[in-house]
Amino acid sequence: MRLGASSNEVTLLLRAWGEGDVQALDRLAPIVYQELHRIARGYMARERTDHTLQTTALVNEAYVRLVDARQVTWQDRAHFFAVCARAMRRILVDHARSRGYVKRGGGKLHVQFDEAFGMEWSADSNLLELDEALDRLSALDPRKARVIEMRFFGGLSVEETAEALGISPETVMRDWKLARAWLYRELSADQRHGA
Amino acid sequence: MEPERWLQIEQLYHAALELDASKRAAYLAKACAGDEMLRSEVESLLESDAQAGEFIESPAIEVAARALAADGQLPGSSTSALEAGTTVSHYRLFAKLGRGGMGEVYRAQDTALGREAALKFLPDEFLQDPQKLERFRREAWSASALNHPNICTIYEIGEHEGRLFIAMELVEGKTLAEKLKDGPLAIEEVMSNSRQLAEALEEAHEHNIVHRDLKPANVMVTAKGRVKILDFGLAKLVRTVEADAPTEESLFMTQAGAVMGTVPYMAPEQLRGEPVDARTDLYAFGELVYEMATGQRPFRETQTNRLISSILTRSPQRPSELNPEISEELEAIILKAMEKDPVNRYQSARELMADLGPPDSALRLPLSASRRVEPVTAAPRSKVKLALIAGFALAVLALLLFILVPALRRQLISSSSTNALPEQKKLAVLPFSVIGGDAGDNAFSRGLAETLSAKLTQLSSGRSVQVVPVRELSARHVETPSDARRVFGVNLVLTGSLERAGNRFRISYALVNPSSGFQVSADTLTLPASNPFGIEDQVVEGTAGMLGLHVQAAERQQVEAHGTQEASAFQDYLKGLGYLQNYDRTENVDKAIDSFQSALKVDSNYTLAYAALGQAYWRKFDTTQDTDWVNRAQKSCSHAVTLNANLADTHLCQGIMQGGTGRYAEAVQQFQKVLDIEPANTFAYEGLANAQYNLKRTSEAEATYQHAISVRPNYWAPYNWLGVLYLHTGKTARAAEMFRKVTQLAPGNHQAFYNLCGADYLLGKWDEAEEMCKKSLAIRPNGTAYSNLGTITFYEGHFERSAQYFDKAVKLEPRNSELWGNLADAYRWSPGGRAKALSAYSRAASLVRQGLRVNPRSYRLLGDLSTYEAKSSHIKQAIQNLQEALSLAPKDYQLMYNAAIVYHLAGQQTQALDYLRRAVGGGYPAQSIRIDPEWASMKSNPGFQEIIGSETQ
Repeated sequence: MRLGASSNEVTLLLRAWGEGDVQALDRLAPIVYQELHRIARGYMARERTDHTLQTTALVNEAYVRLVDARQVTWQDRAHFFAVCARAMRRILVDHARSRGYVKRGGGKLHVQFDEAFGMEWSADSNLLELDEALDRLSALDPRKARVIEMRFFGGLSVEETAEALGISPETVMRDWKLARAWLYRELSADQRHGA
Repeated sequence: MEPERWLQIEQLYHAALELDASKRAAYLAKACAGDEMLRSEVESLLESDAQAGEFIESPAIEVAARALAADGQLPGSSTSALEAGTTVSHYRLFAKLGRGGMGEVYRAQDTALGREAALKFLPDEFLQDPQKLERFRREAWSASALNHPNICTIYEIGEHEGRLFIAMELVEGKTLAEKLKDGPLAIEEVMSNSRQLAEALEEAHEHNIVHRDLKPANVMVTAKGRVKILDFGLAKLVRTVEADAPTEESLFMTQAGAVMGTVPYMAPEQLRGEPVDARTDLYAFGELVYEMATGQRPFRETQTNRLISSILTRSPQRPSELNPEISEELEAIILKAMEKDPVNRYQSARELMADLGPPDSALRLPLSASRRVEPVTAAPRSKVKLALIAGFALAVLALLLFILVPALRRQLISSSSTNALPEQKKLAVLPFSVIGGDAGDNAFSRGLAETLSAKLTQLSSGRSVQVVPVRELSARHVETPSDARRVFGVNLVLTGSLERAGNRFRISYALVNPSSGFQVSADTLTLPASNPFGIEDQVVEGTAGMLGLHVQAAERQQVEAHGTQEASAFQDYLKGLGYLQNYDRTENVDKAIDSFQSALKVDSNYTLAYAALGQAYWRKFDTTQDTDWVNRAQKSCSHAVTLNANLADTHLCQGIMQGGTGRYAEAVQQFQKVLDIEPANTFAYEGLANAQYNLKRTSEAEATYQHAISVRPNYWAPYNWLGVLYLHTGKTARAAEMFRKVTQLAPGNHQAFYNLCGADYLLGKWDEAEEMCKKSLAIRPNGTAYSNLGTITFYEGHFERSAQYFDKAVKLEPRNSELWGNLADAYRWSPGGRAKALSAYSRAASLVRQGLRVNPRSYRLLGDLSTYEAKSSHIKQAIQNLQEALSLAPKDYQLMYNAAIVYHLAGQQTQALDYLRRAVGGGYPAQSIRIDPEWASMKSNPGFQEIIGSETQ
C-alpha cells in the first residue's frame, strides 16, 4: 500500500522538524510528495467531474495515511499541512510543465496561432508563470510567498495558514492582500510586455 | 528592493486600502511627500488589487484537477448487473440479452406504453466526462430521429441511478455474425439483405448520420428476413471514449475482445484516422456483402497489424473465386464499394441502390459499377450532373416565363424549389445592393441585412437552418455569394437589391445557391420608403417561406416586433447598425453614434437603439482608449436594461462592457441572460466562454463552446474558439482536431489552415504542418503562415528556405522583433548569410530596445536583446544585458536558455553548460535543444550529452 515510509517514520520526522531539525524537512518532503501524488491521481480518477475537488480532503487523507495522529501535536499537524502545500505546488507545476507548455520568447523559434480572443489566464501557462513570480516574491518577502503557497497551492484556510506559520489570521489576510496584488501586477506586466 | 522600502510600501498600501477609493490619491500624495517612485509603486499595487478579480482566489488544484484526472484516468468499467424485475424509469427489466462493446443489454417492458423494448446500459466511463456525455446525448438524440423499417429505432435516452441507458426497439432474430457462422447465405438472401442495408444507409445518410461501425454483429435479421441495423450514430461515441488519445494502442487494443470484431470492417481512411463520411459506411457495406456472399471476410489475417496493412494496401480476393454463384454484377458492386480511396467508391447509398436495382431485378441492367474504365471524380457525379442540368433547364425556363408571364414566375420557382433546397441549410444574408441611393441608403441596406439575419436566426432555432451572423460576414469582408461559400461554407445566400424610385423602394431579393450561382427562389416588392417595417417583415416572411419554414403565430409576433413605432427612428437605427458593421473606419463609428442618437430623439423609449448606442460608444473607446467612452457606454447599456430587460441585445451590451472591463463574473450573468432569451446567439456564447475562461473556469468555458457547437454544428467559429482553448490547456491533439474541422467547414479561411499547421507542428507532424501552412498561403499571403513555415524548415535544417519564409513574414509584419530575430537566425546558418544576419539582428535589437523603453523591467526583452547582441559578436553588451535580466528573474528557465546561448557564444562553455542544465531542469524542452544548430559544435561534449540526454527518460 504505502511506498517507502511507515507512519512512524513520518511522525518522527515531523516532530524532529518541529523541534528545529531542518534536515528532517528534506527527508519528509519527497515522502509527502509521492503519497500526495498517488492519492491525487486516484482521487481524481474516481471523482465525478461535477464535484469540486477539495484540496483539504486530499491533504487530510495523506495525513491519515502518513501520520500517527496520537503522537503528534497540533503544531506538527499544521507543519504537515505546510509541507503538503509545498508538495502540491510541485505536483501541479510539474504537471503543467509535463504537458509541454512552452512560453514564448527565450530565443526559441515557435509557431504562432490566430487567437480568436485575448486569453488572459491559461491554467498551465499561468501556473508556471505564477510559480516563477512566487520565487521572485519569496526573494523579496518569504512569508508572503508562503502564505500564497499554502492558500493557493495547499488549499488551506486562513486559520490553518496562520497556525502553520505561527502568525495571526489578520496578518495572513494582510499578507494575502498585498501578495496577491503584487503577483497580479507581475503576471499582467509579463503579458503586456513580455513575449 | 531594500527591506525598509518594501515595508514602507506595505504600510502605505494597507493604509490606503482602508480609505475610501476617492480619498486615496490625496492621501498618497501627502504621505509619499514627493517620492514619486514610492507613490506610483503603491498606486500600481492598489490598481492591481482592484483589477485582480478572482485571481488565485480558488485553490490551484481546482483549476488543475480535471487535467490531472484526465491523465490519471484508467480504463475499466464498474457496471454491475441489474436483476430481472428491477424497474428502471418506466421500464421493467426482464432477462439480460447480452453484453456488447457498449454495455449490457436487457429485454424490458415499457410500462407506460405497454410495448417491449431493449435497454442498453452504457459503461460508467461515459459519465466521467460531461462533454462526452453531452456528445453522447446529442448523437443519440439525432439518431433517434431515424425512423426506418431497416433501422432499429431509438426510443429515448435516460439515466438510472447514475447509469446512462438507451431504450430502443426490441428486435428479435439473429445477428448477421451469428448467421454467418453457418457459412455463406443464399444469393437471394444476400440480395435482399443488401438492398435493405442500402436503404437503411440511404435514410441515415440523408440525415447526415454515419454509422462508422457497421459490422455483422450490428446487423439483425428477423425470422421474416427483415434486416435491422443497430446502434446507428452511436459507434462514434464508443470510439471517442476509447481513443481520447488516439494512439494505435487505444484505437485497436483497449477492448481486447472487440479488436478482431471491429478492425476487419474498418475502411482504410478510418484506419488512418482520417475523417470519415457516408462513403466509409459504404465500404463496410461492401465488406458485409462480401462476407454474406462468400462466408469469408475479404481480409482474413489474424494479426491486427497485418490485417491493417492488408486493408490499406491489398485488393481482396475476387468473391466469385470463392462462390461461383456470384454474378459479375454483384462482384462489381462489392468491389466498387470496397475501393480503397473513397473517391472511387459509390458516392452515396442512392447511387449504390441504383446498381442493386429494384427488389425483383436480377442485376442484369447495364451497371455503372461494371463500367470500370471510366475515371470516377470526387464529386457524386451522376447526381450532380443531373442536378446541374435540371437546374440549368429550370433557370432557362424560369427566365422565359419571367419574360412572358411574370405572375407565374414565383409560383413556378417555389413549387420546384423544394428539390433544390439542401437538407441542412446554411444561410448567409448579404447586404442588398443599393441602386441609385446615397451613403445613408447603403448603411440602411447593411443594417437591414443585419436585422433580417437576426430575425431569420430566431426563426431557425431548432430547425434545419443555420444563419451566419452578419457581423461575421462583414468582419471577413464577405461581399459575394461565392465568398460566403468559400469562407463560411454556406449553401444558400439571401441577396438582393434595393432601388429607390421617388418615395418608394423596390426590393428584389432571392435565395441563391452559391455553388452554381442559380437562384433557388426570388421575389420582388414595392413599398413606400416611409415603411421600413414593411420591408423587413415582408422580406423575412418571404424568405422563411422560400426556406420552407412554417412560422407559428407566436413567432410571427416576435419577429414583427421592431422596438419602435416610429418609422424614421427605425430607419436611423438600421443605418446606425450598418455603419457600425464597418467600425474599422473611425468616421463610421461617429456616424453610427449620430444615427442612434437621432433615432432616440424621435423615440426616447427605443431600447434597442440604447443598446446599440452603448456598443457604438464601446467601439469608440476601443479606438480612442479614452475612458470617458466607457462611462457613456455603461450608462447607455444600463439604461437599455432598465427600459426592457427582456431584450437580448440589452444584456449583450452589458456583457460586452463588463467583459471588456474585467468584470467577468457579472459578464457571465449577462451573457447567460442573453442565451436564455436567444439560445442561438453566437456572440453571447463567445463572450460567455471568454469570461469563464478569464475566471479560470476552463471546463465551463469548454462546455460553453461545446454547447455553441451543438446549437449550430455547421458553424465553424466555435470550433476555432474551442481549438484555441485546447491549445492553451495543453490538449494539442484535440486542438488540431478542432482546427481540422474548421478547415472542413470553412475551406477558404486562411487562419484555419495556419492554426492547423501550428497544431500539427506541435504534434510532431511536420510534413502535414507544412502542407497546411502552404494551403493557408494559397488562400491569402500572411505573416503567421510564413513564420510557421520558417520555423518548421529551420528545424528541418533547411536554413536558406527558412530565411526565404521569414523574409516574407517580416515584409508582412515589419514591427515584430521576434520575426526579425528568427530571420537573422536563419541567415546565420545559411551559406554566405553572415552580413544579412547581422543586419537583421540589428533590426531585431532596435525593435526590442523600443519595447524596453515602454517597460525597462521586461527581463524577456532583455534576454532576447542579449542573444541578438551575442550573435552579432557584441559579447560585452550581451553579458551586461543578460546580467540585468537575470537580476530581475533569477530562475526563469527561458532566460537560463538565453544565458546558455550567450555564454556559449562567448566561449565560456562551463557557464554555458551550467545555465543549459538549469534551463532543462526548469522545463526547457531538451528536444528543441537537440535539433537547434546552435549547439552542433557541442554534440560530442560529455557534459552537454548528459544534460540533453537526461531529459529523455
